[in-house]
Amino acid sequence: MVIDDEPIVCKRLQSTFQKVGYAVETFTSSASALSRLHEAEFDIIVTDLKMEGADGMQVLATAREISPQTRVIVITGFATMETAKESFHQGAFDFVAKPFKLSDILDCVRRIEARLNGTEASTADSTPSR
Amino acid sequence: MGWSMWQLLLDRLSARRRQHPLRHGGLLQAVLRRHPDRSCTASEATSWRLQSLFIHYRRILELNNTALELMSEMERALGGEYIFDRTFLETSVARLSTCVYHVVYSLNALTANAHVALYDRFQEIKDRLQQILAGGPPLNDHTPIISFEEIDWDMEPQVGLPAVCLTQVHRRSGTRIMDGFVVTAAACHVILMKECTVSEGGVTPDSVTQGIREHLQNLTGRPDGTPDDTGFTVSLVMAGTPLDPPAAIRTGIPAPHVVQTIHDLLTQALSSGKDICNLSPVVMVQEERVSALHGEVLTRPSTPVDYPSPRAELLEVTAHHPAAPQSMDRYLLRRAHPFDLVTSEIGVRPAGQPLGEGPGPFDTLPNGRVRGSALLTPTALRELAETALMLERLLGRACSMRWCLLKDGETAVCSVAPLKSGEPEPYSDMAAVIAQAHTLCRGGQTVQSGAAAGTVVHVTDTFDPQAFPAGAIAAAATASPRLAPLLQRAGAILTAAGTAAGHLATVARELRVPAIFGLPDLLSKVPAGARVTVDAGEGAVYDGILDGLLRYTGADLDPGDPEYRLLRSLLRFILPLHLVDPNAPDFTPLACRSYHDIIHFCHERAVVELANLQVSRPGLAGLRTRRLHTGVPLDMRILDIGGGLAPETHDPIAPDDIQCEPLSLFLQGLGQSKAWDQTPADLRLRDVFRGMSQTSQALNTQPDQFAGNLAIIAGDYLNLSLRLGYHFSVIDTLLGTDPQRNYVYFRFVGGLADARGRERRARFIHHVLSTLDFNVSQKGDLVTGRLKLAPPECLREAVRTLGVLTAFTRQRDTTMQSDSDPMALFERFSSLFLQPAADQTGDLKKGGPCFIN
Repeated sequence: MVIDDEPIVCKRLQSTFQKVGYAVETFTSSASALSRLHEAEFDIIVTDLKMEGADGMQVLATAREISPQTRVIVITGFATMETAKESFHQGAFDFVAKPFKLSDILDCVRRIEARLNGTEASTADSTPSR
Repeated sequence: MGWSMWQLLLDRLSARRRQHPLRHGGLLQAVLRRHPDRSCTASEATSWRLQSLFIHYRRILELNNTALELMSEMERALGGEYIFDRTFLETSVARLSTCVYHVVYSLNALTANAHVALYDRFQEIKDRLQQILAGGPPLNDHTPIISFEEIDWDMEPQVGLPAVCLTQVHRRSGTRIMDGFVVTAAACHVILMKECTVSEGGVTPDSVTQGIREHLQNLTGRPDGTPDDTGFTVSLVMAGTPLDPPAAIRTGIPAPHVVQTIHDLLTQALSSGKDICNLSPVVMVQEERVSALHGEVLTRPSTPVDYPSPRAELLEVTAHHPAAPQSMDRYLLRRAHPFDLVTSEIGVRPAGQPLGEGPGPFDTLPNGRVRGSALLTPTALRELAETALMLERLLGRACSMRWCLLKDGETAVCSVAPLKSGEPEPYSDMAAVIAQAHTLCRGGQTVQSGAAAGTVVHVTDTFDPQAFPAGAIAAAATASPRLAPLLQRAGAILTAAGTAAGHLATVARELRVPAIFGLPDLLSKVPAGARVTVDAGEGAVYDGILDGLLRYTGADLDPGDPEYRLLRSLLRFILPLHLVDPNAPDFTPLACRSYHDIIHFCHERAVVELANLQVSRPGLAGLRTRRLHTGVPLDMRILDIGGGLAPETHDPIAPDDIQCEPLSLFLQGLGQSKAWDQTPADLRLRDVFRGMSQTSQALNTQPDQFAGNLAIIAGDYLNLSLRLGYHFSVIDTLLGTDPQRNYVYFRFVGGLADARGRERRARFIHHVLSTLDFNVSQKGDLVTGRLKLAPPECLREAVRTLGVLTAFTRQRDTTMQSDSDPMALFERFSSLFLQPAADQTGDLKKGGPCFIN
């Protein structure tokens, strides 16, 4: 699941992840995303921090509550040490400041996939199988 | 050693205070006026002023660097490597504006407010950027009509994306296009708002009409604007929705009817119920010519094809005679270089219909095959495919390119339009394709995302761009700017070394040519002749042609994305450098049109200010300096502002005491015996010279005072002012750890001879500096040279050679009897001091890779 109120971020992340085989749903409204979280289970959530309505922290908290095994990556254009600390404190898997490289976010998702598959050490060059 | 001048100054002062507590302990206090019982001596105050100037100078260098890095970051975002949002753009503009403002402030502080006008220029550009971020058009974009030859990328909001792509292809590849002009969004707005008599920019309906008529005349060369053979094509395009096809097209319009047709198209669009004003309508007017063939290239075939490959892997070319559109040829080609023909449908046409120049349909070709009745040859098909794919790259999506074969045998592009989105991208297939692909090389930096496939050609700086097979993959050891012309023909470019911030990277982004720089072991892993697929966004080079990947562009940032267009609009007032020649009369604050212009202007003026320091700041006469033992008949004094001398020095200072690299290099050159041996054997002049030198010394009898030849030094900085007899020269150079900031500035003027002799000597110096890659200007006997962004060894060699030149040029003006003398003297100097290192022997010191002295 990708949540960002900027359509360009959703569009490009969706294409990037789909290209290497991940199934992706994108949301530009955090309310819609939270509603969807109650319907379906996601392995990974990539969420923006500052959004209208529920912000990234609320998405993170809800995801942890509904589906504790879901990993959450927080992305933001307003990165500070405080927001990063807070994200990790709330249970985020990673915290990525915008602008970021496509390869960076992809590496992050692959690390999560490796953990979920229990193959973390040997997946540096592998292609996701989903 | 870094150039932490301020820190070095403070360290130096602290050291002095420790060594001479009574003499120096109160210096800072006195300057800061915190100690009531000590008065600041003239020398101390001058020293403090000097330090202040250098702080401003250093600040300009630092801010320049920061600004360039920010600009580079923004430009790199255009290449698709980064995911960014609006916040990034707003933050970047704010940080950049702050940076540029402080550069302007520091220059004015350095030059006693000599460039106050820069504040106005800064504010104007900042306002434009804010206007763009707020969603409005840039201020003052009210040009009503723009001819094709004037169009550049930064005009896209005014003229629309198709016009930009068309003119870029012509400019970059030389492809002929049907010429024309654009009635801009501003002019269309005026036409639509008929009730307005005067718009904000002073454009009226009458002035638009007049402008259209003048441009029609310019196109045809006839007073009434009538073209030679047919009429004009008039297309209505919405610049606000750049990836939509033209809203309307009218062809064969006679010149007298063009204005009315434009009005009709706009009126119809207005009455269609769309919010046309917000769509920024623009109108393209193009000439039409009688042609032998017409056709179209679709970079995504229009209908399903009877061929095993998915149509996403193919492109389609059609051709027909103008008089027989129903008898059309259809060809399907591979999208990958060399664009092999995979199938064709040849139209049925009457016997005897000409096929153009060359053999008839039943004639045998040199390859033994019968010509056949196809309208296009394989070569013509390849050329059309190359052009259409270049347009697709520029547009960022599949497109339709209309073309025609003119009577003179030349092919011209008539128009380009984006195709509407097709079926969804085959994501699942893509992952499988990538998983099975053999990766030849991976890593480096994505300079411009995108995919391309073709044959690999290894290239160097000296590769002839015209010899590069269009659409092939260029692979080079370094990202040299000299490779830029290749990008007009390359399908993608790969380099083993180089950064995404260089000139080549900028051109790759401008042309949207997929590019990866810094791929490890590139040339061994990707051999010449290999057929490969480049996925620049992934930083990967795959073995073989992965057709499916070529159509996969979903993750790329493309011209249809609002953020891409917003960034491009912002960069229009940030990135271009219009003020390239510091000696040009328009190198002024008023001519600054971008932030890059402003910081470049400030940097150049700051260097000149420093170079003139010893002339413009007579207060330096109060400084304490120390004599240097040079070993040659030249009296030179040293002012160390930090790190230029060893902690313990001789008196007078010995060359071994010098830790300032530029001064050491200069002295190496100055000490070349052959440079002194070559002095003309004219005893009288030598006496004159000695007399001058002695006079200079006599004028500076106080041992601790400023002398005629003064070197202000730091660890990696030298500002040297020389007064040898009747000529003056200045060397201002920084050779630090950051190659982007290093430079050598040299100025030479004066002499003992008459004006002609001095001018001839200046010409000789001009030759020498040009050979060293200086940017040189000469006015009479004044020669100014600037060298920057050069390899470190070349900069060092340049400083060393300036030392040789200083010794060698003494009195030369008095011996220049004819206009051929400067070149003769240059050849002698060149043979002695500018030959490649391998050619030199003897007592001469081996220089760097550039030259030896």
